[in-house]
Amino acid sequence: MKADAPPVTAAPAARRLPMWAAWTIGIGCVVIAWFVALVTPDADTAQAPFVVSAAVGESATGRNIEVTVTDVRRAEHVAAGGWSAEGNWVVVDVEAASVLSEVQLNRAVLVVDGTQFSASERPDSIRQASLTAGIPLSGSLAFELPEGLDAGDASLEIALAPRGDTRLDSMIVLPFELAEVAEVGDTELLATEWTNL
Amino acid sequence: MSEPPVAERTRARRRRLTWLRAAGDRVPTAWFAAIGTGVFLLATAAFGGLATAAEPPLAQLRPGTTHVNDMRSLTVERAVLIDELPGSGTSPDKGERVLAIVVDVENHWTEPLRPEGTGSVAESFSVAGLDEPSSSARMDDATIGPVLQPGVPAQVVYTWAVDAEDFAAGDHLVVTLNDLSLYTGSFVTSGTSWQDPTPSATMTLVIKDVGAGVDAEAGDEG
Amino acid sequence: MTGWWRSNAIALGAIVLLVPATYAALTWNEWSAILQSSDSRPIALEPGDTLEYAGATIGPVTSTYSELPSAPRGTKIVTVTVKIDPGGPPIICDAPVLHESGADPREWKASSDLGRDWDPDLRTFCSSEETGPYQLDLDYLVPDDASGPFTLELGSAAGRPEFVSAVVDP
Repeated sequence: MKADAPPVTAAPAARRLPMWAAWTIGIGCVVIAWFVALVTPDADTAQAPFVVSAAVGESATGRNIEVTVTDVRRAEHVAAGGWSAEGNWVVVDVEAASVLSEVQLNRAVLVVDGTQFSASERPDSIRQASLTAGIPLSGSLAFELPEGLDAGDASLEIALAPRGDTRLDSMIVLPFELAEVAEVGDTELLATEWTNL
Repeated sequence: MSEPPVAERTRARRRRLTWLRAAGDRVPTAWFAAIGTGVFLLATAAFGGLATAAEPPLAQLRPGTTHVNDMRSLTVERAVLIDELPGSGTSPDKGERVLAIVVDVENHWTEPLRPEGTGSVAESFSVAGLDEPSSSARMDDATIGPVLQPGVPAQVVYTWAVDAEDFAAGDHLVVTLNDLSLYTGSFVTSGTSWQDPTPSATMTLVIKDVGAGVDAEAGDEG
Repeated sequence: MTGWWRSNAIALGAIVLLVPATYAALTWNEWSAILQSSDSRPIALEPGDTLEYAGATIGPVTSTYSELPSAPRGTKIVTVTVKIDPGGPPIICDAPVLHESGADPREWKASSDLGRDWDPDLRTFCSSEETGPYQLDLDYLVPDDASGPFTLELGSAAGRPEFVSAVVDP
């Protein structure tokens, strides 16, 4: 005798995703992941400094630094106090102050077509000066360039860079054309002192 | 009955392979290891053997020749023994004198180079019998520890405070010139720096003794 | 669906408890060392009061605006006087900082080249050689737009993580 199967409500037949759908979703995920990987910034980009663009005569304010570049000039002969030197020099006059606390201006770099030149430590300059919150300090920076470097895309980078670290903090950048900078032949660096003395 | 040509070719291939397999079966397994080792040793011998190759001798440079590498070009000008050299950054104690080596350097990199420290110009040359220089200074304006800007040549004097008896006029100093490699930091370090000084040339200098020093002063102080 | 929740109730309850607890434990672990070794807990000091800190008696703290020759235009000088009675061992404090609270908190360090006449009894740092009471006279050069409220923050390695936050009202 056939046993009667107890009446059971038929469970819905297990529906599986068709093969083509599964493969499409899978490959779609891989493609999306590839795009995400392309867009994700690498460590250098993710930790890059925050650039604040500056122009000559205008003040540029970062998180804890405020800089006004008042002049950019080139000279064959520079003097500062009792020191002087010959060469291919670029002199930049700046007024700098900090915004929140007392810090040191550790990074003053001129980048010309990818080559970095740091502010020369040979003369007394505003390089590595202590900046006070809200009180501007005037001074000059001198960059010694190789003979014959007369043109190129230049940018002046100024930042606090404690221990040389520029990551994730403001950096004031002044872009200019080296060929357009006025050549004065003979120049003197400004003494580092309060702007409003 | 002639078989279709495809089937015949397949069978011919199989026959060739079976011969190979049969031949392989005849060789005792242990012999394979011995044959392999023998072939390896023969090949090694053909390439020169297992002993470490002798290092090629370093190039000998004449004093005054410029040593050029990716990082900088360096010309060792002279080595001078002097009682004291004010402005050089080295102050000798009693019984010590200053050994000064004057070099012409030009930075070939795209970033400024430090004169001393890690990844510096001082790592790109070493003097037999001496440690790192105690100080460096520009010859023209006596700037201590001058930073070398890319493409800007400078004359720098590296000084050591040495015992007066250790060196004398006419002594030969062997200067080894090194090449460094540019490393880009990754993972926990960032930035690029020059590391791994590897000797690439040597130069022998004769020390001049200028006694109390009349001509070898490092620039004016004013 | 209720069946799934009920059968996994214990596991879900554990997650709800443990995830915040793990976060809290890791945070406390990392931060407690940092907070312990830095100046993180201010002790307020009202004008005219004194308090005990790092074994010394600090206060009263008085302040005034002053004029000095080398100050640039557009600035003012806040001269703060701090009386210190060092205990034993004598307190060694970090350079006191003038702090301005507000929307953008700012701080300044004491300046010593404002043109004040040389006075051999003038002290600008906590001396470990003094045994009797002395006072610190600190000149702070601040911009004209600094209006306060100012506090003087004085910390000492011995008193960490607490530091004295004295109200400065020139």
